[in-house]
Amino acid sequence: MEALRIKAVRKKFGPLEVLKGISLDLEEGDFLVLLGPSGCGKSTLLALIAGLEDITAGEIHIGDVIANDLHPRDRNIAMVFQSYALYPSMTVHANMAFGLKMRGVSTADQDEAVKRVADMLDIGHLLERKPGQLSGGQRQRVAMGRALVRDPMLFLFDEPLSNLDAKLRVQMRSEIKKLHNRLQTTVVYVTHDQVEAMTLATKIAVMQAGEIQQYAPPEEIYNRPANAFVAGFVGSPQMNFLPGRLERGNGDPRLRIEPANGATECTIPIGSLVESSLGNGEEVIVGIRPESIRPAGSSSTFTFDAAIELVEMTGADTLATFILGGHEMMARLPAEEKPALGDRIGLSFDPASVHLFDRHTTVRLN
Amino acid sequence: MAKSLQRTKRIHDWVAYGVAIFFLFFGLAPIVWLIITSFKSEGEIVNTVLTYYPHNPIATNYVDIWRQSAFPTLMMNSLQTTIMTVVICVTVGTLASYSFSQYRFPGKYALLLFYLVVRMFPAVLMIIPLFLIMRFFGLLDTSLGLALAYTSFLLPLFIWMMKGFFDALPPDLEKAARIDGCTRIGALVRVILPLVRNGLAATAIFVAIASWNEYLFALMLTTSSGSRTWPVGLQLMIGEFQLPWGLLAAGGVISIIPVVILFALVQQTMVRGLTSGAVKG
Ligand SMILES: Nc1ncnc2c1ncn2[C@@H]1O[C@H](COP(=O)(O)OP(=O)(O)OP(=O)(O)O)[C@@H](O)[C@H]1O
Ligand SMILES: [Mg+2]
Repeated sequence: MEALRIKAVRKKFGPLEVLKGISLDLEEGDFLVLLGPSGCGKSTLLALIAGLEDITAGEIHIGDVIANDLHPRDRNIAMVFQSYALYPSMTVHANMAFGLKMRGVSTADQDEAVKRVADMLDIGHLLERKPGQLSGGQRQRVAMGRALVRDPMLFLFDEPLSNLDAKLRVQMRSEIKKLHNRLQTTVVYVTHDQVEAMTLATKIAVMQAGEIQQYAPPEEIYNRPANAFVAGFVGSPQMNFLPGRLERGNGDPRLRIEPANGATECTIPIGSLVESSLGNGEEVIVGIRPESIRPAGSSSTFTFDAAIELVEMTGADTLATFILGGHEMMARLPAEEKPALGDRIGLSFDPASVHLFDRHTTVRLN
Repeated sequence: MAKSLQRTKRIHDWVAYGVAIFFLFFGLAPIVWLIITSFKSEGEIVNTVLTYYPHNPIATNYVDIWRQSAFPTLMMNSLQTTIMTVVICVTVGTLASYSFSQYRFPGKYALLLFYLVVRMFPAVLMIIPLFLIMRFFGLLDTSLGLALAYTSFLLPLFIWMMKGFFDALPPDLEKAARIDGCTRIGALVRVILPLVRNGLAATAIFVAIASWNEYLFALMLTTSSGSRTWPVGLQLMIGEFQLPWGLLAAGGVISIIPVVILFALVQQTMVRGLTSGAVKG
């Protein structure tokens, strides 16, 4: 069954159109991540689903009811805020029980639900404290607990982990993942952290400027980004982009990289990478992920020499910046590769891993 | 070197204390003198020989003003007016300042600014129009009329002060409460107000004290003992040929007692409310 259906939803704040026609469907048990840069309208979309803001146009269905005119309370949702928004004057127990109390659940049932969730999240010993007496991580758990006790149809998370330190964030991320695996709840989760998005999501909606750029499972977002924006936004370090031209002479089609700064030209044979509909001389953007670039000598078919401009060791791997055809690029090499600055080393990549985008529309071509 | 530094510091301390004591004297001396005078007999007050404390302290001034004048009625009227003013300001002002703080709506800034500008005109300018309005509505010489007149300048103050407290709140609280099942008003009452209660108490007391002590509007808008407040009543005791200093002083002391008690009761809350303005934790 569909847990959430959004149809051509628009939202204006005065003259400013923040959401420009959003449509997406979500199956029950799905984990949807809204991913996008700051200000693209993620929180606004979440607020519309929650009923905290009015919809300018379009429809939102939650379960099998149209939620457009429903009060937030009647939408069968729960929400976790970035600021946690715990009620400072109430104990943790009262915070978690508040939603149940407002719905007229008996005290005994409230206590039972709070206890069940508190055990699950390991916050049983904090129940009598006030939010002010908790650490950031504990507050975060309480905020999750407050959402979980209600057992709603849909969970909404607005960047719930962004106020935690890096280590705690990773830990909570896996806990959320485990919880989701166990409870099979339907989740809409806002973040601008792409690692969070890739690890948690069953579906990702990449947004930009109030529009969905691509709505697909994480592997597809990563392996077949629909346009240059998605390609550049997902993946770290960022995908390398080069301006190029398609050449169909006699023989295999090739990509001619347009050189910059007076560098020598280079061409990449791309075999059957593109459809034959793509004409000769077509202007394209060539995208190569840093992790697709390997030291030369492996079985890859395209090999080249490049001068190393910068070496960054992350411990797990080595990030090498080099110049190809006058363009700065980055490769993510195994940690045992330790090129020195200024070295010329042999690098290679599989032409099949190249992404091609239209230079003018930035839409994916292969 | 160190020594002279220390000496400079000591001199600075003395200067600071001197200035503080000087202004403290200016503020407190009249009140002390008022209290002293209230315990003197008429003869001692008008005596050409100045006495710095009552040589035979008496309480007759207090007994007389309470028994033989309309003073108790004046106090009751003042109390009634003050309570009405506070109730109006707290209900209307809380709702208004909350929406000014948390919501966007057309004309918001213009309105806020307007409230500030209203405060800048001297009260005298407003008296005649207010008088006409009150007469039109038949509110002249009533406690309610006077309370409404007070709100004309106390409500803007209330709104601006409370807006500061609401501004300090995290904006997501109301949203969380609404998702948990509250209406907007419900969220305000159940979640928001408990957080600003110190500030609310402080602001309400500000308003209460201001309306308790107000003189000018009361003088113009009340004409009978049915609604006259104590500052006006006390002033009217000054006759053409007599100046009952002792009674006036006793009346003055009695009427500041509620203010002092109120302040003592909530002093801690009030200071906390005014300085923190916050909800930390
Ligand atoms: N109440 C509002 N009135 C007017 N404009 C608003 C309002 N709320 C948000 N906006 C605007 O809408 C746009 C989208 O805001 P939104 O909060 O949805 O962004 P976001 O994607 O959540 O960003 P972030 O990652 O920074 O949280 C922004 O340009 C913002 O300024
Ligand atoms: Mg946001």
